[in-house]
Amino acid sequence: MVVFVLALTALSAVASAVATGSTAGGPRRPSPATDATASNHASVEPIAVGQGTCAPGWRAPSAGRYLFAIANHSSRWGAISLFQWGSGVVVERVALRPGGVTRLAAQLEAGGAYGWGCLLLGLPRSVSAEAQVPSPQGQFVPAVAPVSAAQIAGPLLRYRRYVDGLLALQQHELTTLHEQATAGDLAGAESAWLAAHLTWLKIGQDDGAYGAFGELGRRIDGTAAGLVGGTRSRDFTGFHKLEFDLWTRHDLRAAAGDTTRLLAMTRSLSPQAVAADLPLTLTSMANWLLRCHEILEDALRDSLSANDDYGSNSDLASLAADVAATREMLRLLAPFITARVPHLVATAERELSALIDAINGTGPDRGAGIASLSVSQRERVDAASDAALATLAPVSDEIQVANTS
Amino acid sequence: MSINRRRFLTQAGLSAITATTAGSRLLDGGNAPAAAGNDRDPLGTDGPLDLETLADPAARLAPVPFHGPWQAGILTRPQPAACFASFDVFAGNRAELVDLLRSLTGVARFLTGGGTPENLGPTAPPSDSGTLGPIVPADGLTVTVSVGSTLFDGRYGLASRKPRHLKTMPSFPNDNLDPAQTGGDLLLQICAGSADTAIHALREIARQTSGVMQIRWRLDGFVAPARPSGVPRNHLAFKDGIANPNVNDPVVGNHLLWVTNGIGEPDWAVGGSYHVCRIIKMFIEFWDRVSLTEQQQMIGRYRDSGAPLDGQLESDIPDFRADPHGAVIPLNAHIRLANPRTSETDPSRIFRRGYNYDRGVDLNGNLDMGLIFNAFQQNLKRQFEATQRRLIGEPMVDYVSPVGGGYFFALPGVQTTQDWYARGLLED
Repeated sequence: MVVFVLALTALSAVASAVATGSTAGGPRRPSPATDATASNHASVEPIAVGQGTCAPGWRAPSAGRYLFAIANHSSRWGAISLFQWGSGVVVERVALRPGGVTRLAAQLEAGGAYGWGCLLLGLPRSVSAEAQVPSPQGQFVPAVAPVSAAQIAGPLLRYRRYVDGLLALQQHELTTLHEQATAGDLAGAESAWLAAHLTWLKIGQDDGAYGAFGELGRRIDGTAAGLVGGTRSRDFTGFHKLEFDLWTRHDLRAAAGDTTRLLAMTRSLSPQAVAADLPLTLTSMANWLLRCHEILEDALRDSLSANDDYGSNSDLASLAADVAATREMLRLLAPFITARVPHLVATAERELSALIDAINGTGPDRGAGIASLSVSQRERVDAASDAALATLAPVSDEIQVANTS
Repeated sequence: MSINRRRFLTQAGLSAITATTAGSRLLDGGNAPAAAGNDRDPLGTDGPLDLETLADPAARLAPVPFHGPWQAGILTRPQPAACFASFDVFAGNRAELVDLLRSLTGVARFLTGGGTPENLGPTAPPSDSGTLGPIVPADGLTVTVSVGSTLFDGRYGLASRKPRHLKTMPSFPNDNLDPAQTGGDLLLQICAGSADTAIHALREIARQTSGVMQIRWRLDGFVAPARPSGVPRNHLAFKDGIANPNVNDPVVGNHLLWVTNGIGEPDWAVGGSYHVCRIIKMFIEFWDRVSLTEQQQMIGRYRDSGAPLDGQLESDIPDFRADPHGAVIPLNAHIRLANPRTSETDPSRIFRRGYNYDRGVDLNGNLDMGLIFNAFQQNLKRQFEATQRRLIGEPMVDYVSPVGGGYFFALPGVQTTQDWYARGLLED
C-alpha cells in the first residue's frame, strides 16, 4: 500500500507530499537539517533517481544520522521524500533539479522501516523498496498509521453540528442585542454583545484568519487594523465595530444598524453553508486540524496583547471562550491524538485548566482589561498560555490525514 | 525657536579635520596593573581590567565619503548598527527649514569624517557629548536623510516640488499601523560600525536641532554577522536580502534605484531615491512552534543554507518557469510572490537594506522583535507597491505584522563642501 501524506499548508496536490516528524517519541522534536549543517557527516550515501526508477537497491544502513547524495538522472524537476514505511509519514523531503545531485540529511531510527518516494514532474510517483533499520533488540518499531479521511470525517461532522448549534444560539443573542440597542438600553446591549461574541469565539473562528469562513469571518469579527481610515472605514464591521459603537462611542443608533448587518452576515452561515465551508476534503480537514493550536495562537496575538480591544475589556473572557473552543477540538480528536502521543491530551487539559485558573485569578467576571492587570497576574496568564501552546502546536503534525491509494 | 548657529558653525569648521588619530591607542599599553601589594579589604578592591575583552578602537570602520552624487548609506554595504529616527519639523518658516538642513549637513559632515570636537572653553558645556572619547572616530558612519510627504504640505511652500509618487504610506491589508510609530517629516537612517557610534550621532544631531525638530519615533537595528556565511539572517532565522538587484551596476542603478532625468520627477530630486521604511513585527514565538518544513515552504528557501528549494546555494537563482505548478517552490512562497523573476516583474524589483530590531517585551509576554524593512527604489508605485500587492495574503502574514514606518524620499547627495542637504529643493 502506498500512502500519500497530505501537507497542512501546501496548496497543490504535488507539493502536498510534505510533512514533518515521525510518529514516535514526544511532541517536541527538532526536524533534522537538510543541507550545509550536514557537512560533518562521515560518509555520504548515494541514491539514484531516474525515469521509472526510485532509489534502486535501497537498503537502510544502521541507525544514525546520514547524508544522502541524491542524483537525478532524468531531465525533469521533481522531489524525493524519505518516509516511514507503513505510515507514509515523511521524514525529510527535498527538491530535485534536472540532472543534479542534491544532498539530504536525515536521521534513521533503530527498528524503523523506510522507503523513498520519487516524484518527477509529469510522471507517476514511484516508490523504492522497503528497508528496515536493525535495532539492538532485533524488534521492529511499528509506525503509527496516519489518520484516514474516512476516520476524520466523523469528528468533522460532529464539529459542524457543534458550530450549527452555537450559530443558532448566537442568532438569539444578536436579536436580543438589536432589541436592547433599539430600546436605548446601553448596559443591556453591552451585556448582549458580550454573550453573542463569546458564543462566536467558542466556535473557534476569531477573525477568520485561519477559518473556513474566509473574508466573511473577517467582516464578522475582524478589527480595523489594516483598513484605510481605521475605525472610520466602511469595511470596519461586525463584533468589534459594535464594541466600538457601544463602549467607545455610546452610539446605540449605530449599534442597532451594525447589529442588523451582523445578523445578516451570520444568518448566511446556515448549516448548509457551514457544511460547504468545511467540506470533507483533505485540505479542509488539514486546515481544520490546525485549529488545535491556532485558536490559542490567535488569542495570544490579539487578545493577550489587547490589540483587539475596543473598550469592552473582554479579552480575558474571550480567552476563556477560546479555551472552550480548543477543548472541543481536543475532545473530538482525542482518540487519534492519544494513539500517537499518549499523554498529550491529558497534559493539554491540565494546562488549559491552569490557564482558566489564571484567568479567574484576575478578579471577578474576567472583566479586567489586559493592561490593567498586575504584572504577576498578567505573567501567570501568559505563562499558562505559552505552556498550553507548546503542547498543542505539534498536534496537527502528529495527525496527518492521508489519502490512501 | 531657531538653530543654535554658533554650534553649527563650529562643527562645520571642523569638518576639514580628518580623523587621522581616531582609533588611537587609548586602550593600549597592556593590562592594568593587578591590584597587588595593598592591604585594602578585598571587598573594596577593584578587580583587574580585562582590556582584552573591551572594544578595540582600531577595529572601527574606515570613513565613508560624505560627498557624492547620491547619499551614503544606500549603496554602502550595511554597517552592523543603525538608528532609525523619524522627526516632525517645527521650523517656523522656509528660512528656518534651510537653517535646519544646513545645520544637519554640518553635523553629519563632521561626524562622518571624524575628528576632534572644538573646545568651547571651560564655562560652556562641551561641544560633543564625548561618548566616543575625546577624538570622534568616523567608524563607517553614514547619515542618510529622507523626507516625508508631510514636509511638502503648505508650511514651507514646497507642494509643487514634491516627488511625484511621494505620499503617506497607506495601510495595506494585514498591516496594523500605529500612528505613534508611522510617518514623519524627516527620516534619518544613521548607520555605523558599532551601536555607540550610531547613537552618538543621533544624540549630537538631536541636541543641535531639537528646537526645530522632534523625534516622532525611533528604532535601533542591527545586522547580524554571517551565520555561518553569506547573507545575514533575520529573526525568522532565514537569510534576508539574498535577491537584491545589482544596483552597483550603473545601468541597473539608473533603472531601479536612482531618480534620473526624464522620468517625470522634479529636477532637484535627481540622485535621490524613494525610501520605504516599514517596522515589521515578527511573531517569533509562533514561528518557533512551526515545523521547519512548513517554514521553508512559506519562504521558498532552505533555512540553513539560504538556497531556494530548487537549489543548493544561496546564490542559486530559483527557476520558477521549470516549476509552473509549485511542486518544488509553492506558488505562494514568499520568494516567488516577492520576485517572480519574469521580464514583466523585473522592473518592480526593489533594493533592500534591512536591519533587525529587538526592543523588549510585549504586553502578552512575547519578545518584541522584527525587521526594519528598508528599501530604496526609483519609483514607489512601480516597485514597492507592486511588490507589496503581490504579497497580500501570503502564508507568511500570520507570523508578521507591519506596525509602523512610512514612505520617504532619500535626498540627492551633498556634492561639495559648500553644498547641503536639500539645497536643490529649498533654494529658489
